[in-house]
Amino acid sequence: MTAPLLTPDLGTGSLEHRDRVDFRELRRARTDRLLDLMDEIEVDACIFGREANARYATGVRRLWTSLTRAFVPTCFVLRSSREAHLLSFSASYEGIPEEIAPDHYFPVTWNPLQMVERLSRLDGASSIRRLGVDGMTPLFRDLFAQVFPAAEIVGVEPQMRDMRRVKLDAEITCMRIAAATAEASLVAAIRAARPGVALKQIQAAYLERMSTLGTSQFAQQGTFSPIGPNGVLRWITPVDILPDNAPLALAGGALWAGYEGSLARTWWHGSQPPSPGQRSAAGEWRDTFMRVVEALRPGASGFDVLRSFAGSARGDLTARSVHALGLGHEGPIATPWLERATLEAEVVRVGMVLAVRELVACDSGGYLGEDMVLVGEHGAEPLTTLGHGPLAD
Amino acid sequence: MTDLIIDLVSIDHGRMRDERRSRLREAMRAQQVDALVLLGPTNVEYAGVKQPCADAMRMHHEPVIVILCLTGPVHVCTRFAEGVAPGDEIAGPIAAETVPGVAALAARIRDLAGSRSRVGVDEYTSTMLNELGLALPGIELVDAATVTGAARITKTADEIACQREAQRINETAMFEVERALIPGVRQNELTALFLRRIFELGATANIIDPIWSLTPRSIAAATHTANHDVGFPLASDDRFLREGDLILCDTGMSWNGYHSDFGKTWICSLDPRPTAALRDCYAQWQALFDEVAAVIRPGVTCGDLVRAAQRVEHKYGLSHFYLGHGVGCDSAEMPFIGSDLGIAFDDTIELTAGMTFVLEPVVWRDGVGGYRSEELVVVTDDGFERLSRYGYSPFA
Repeated sequence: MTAPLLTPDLGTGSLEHRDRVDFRELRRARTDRLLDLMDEIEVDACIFGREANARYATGVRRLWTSLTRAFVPTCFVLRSSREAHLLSFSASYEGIPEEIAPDHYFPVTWNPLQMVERLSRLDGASSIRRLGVDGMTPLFRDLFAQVFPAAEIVGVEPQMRDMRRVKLDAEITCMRIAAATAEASLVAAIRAARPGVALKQIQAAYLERMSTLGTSQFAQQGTFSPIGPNGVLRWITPVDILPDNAPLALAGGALWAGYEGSLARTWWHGSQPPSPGQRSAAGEWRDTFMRVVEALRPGASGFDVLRSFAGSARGDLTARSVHALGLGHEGPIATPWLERATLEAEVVRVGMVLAVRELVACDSGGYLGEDMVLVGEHGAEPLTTLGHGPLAD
Repeated sequence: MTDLIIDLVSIDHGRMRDERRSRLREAMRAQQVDALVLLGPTNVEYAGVKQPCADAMRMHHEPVIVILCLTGPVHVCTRFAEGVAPGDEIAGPIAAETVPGVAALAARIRDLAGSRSRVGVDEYTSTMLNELGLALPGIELVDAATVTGAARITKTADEIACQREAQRINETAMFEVERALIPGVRQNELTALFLRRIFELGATANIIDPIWSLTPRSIAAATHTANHDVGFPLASDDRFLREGDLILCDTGMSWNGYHSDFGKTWICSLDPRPTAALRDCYAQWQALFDEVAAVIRPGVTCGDLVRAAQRVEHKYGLSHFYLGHGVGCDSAEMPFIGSDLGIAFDDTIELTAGMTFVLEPVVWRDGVGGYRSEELVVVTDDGFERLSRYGYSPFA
């Protein structure tokens, strides 16, 4: 089987012949999709606080911070005028797409009353009957009720998520670059690891490589931890040393142009060869992955996909996941902690990019792996292809 | 520096968790709140529950939810069992962005808080906004922020020790970054160095994309801004930094849940030499800081700090920022000092021992440039102590 060419024309040397991504066109296409969605669900205006939604709606590139932010209005999109206004963190127009004029950009304020007062003065604000938001704090819920007294305030994150999950071609190109960056960073971490090295040093190697490749923004700061007996894994990288003859789980992710590339591997750095149990855990992971990929056909439900994991019910089952990726994590499709009704309602669609993650436990350790795939009409194509090193067949 | 060593060995993580929970419950009793439902990662951290650090959307879709009642064990919905303290009640994750998930959360709240209770919620997911109130008739949902805010504004000795360690790691990493600031270096190369160093030094997480803001000497020469002031921070563009560039840097990371805040003004050069006019900005900045610092002690208000700053420099900061802000489990939290919330707001907040905040005035002379440094301080019984100890090269 020949490996597909995963990054066509993406080398920097080809830049003078063709653009990697026509970003202006990508921004226009995303905004159009949002406005079509607003028509469909009859929402007159949207105010988004989440980075990914604001970026999708307007192209704004904010200062990256980790942790979720409590809801603060970041952008305002009005259906009648098809215009966007920004309420961003930085006071400068850098990071703002050129099609958004300076008069559509609010100065920063720390005063929520001032912020909603400015919103209320926008043309068309008084005619809003249904206002879509992607999250809320009690404070802004009360303030919005005063500023838009006639408006019903509805949460539209599920609809946004459904829309964002089906990718445009340019988005997939971004994700191929992000996936390649995440792989390169993981390789740096694998090469930094050996028994007796600090786990934090392995994490440091990942993040250093990611940044030198041009993105300083994480999708996840990563898990670089040995897997203990019965698949016990500390997801928060501990301040500790990699012991000899322990499988090392490495998981991390990078954002490129906001789009996520993530993958995980378990590597063997021990002075002894891996035990038969450890080898069979790695083999079981690969078999599971192939089964799940086979199940990721257009029209399959989350319930079908979860069932395809099969395998023994050992270890941390909550690690088991198929989730959508795009502008960051776009929500689970199949995990053991989703309710049955949700699993049955989730449907695999063409154009989705999905991460498949599984942790297989064995007596002496286990195997954590995660790969990204793109769903096509005839099945899923891998976007990450890194090998499994000493734990390969 | 012996105080630093003593503090580090004396951190008692169990005591810190217990004291924070006591403070939350004290504030709940004062505000007649029966239970808290916490989704915001920094509130979850404050409540004593840990999770891996990631991009916001990942944390949103793999949520950790804490339900804390006045009595009884703390209830934690998470897939990260390692982040839950002994004695807490651990349950599986809840999909807070789906209708069945919110129904499950509502059932959990009713079981734990009682069907006629007053429950503080810090954040609503989209689906919680649509469904949670309907699913909990008889339960009054109120803003958890007033409870968490009251508990979090003053730090315990253990919390301050954590902040001291976070600041120490951040500063130690920065010595190496400052040496690397030479013509031709790219912004992301500085970031690579910074990230490598903080994690080698034991950082728990990086919490903000490091800022290496290339700042023009005049506003007219700079990028446009909405308020016609100095543009800061500028977008992270991975630019080449060149001879003589004025760099306003700003970084922050966390150690055991507590955030550092580091900001300095540097010059990119093999031989950085600030002009006389730029040195004057620095001297004025020092005078401003000294004037404010002389006022800091329990009993004065944040408004007193603002008035002290204005005695030296009427415009003590950039229009879109402030004189200072609190630091804790968030990199910017209450108290906000000298922001556009206004002096009347500043006067409502009285300093008490154990408050930590960073002062970050800016002295700007258009056509010259400016000086900005961030100074993390903790209010003590009779004044304050500096947690920032980096120094002022190449201006000093």
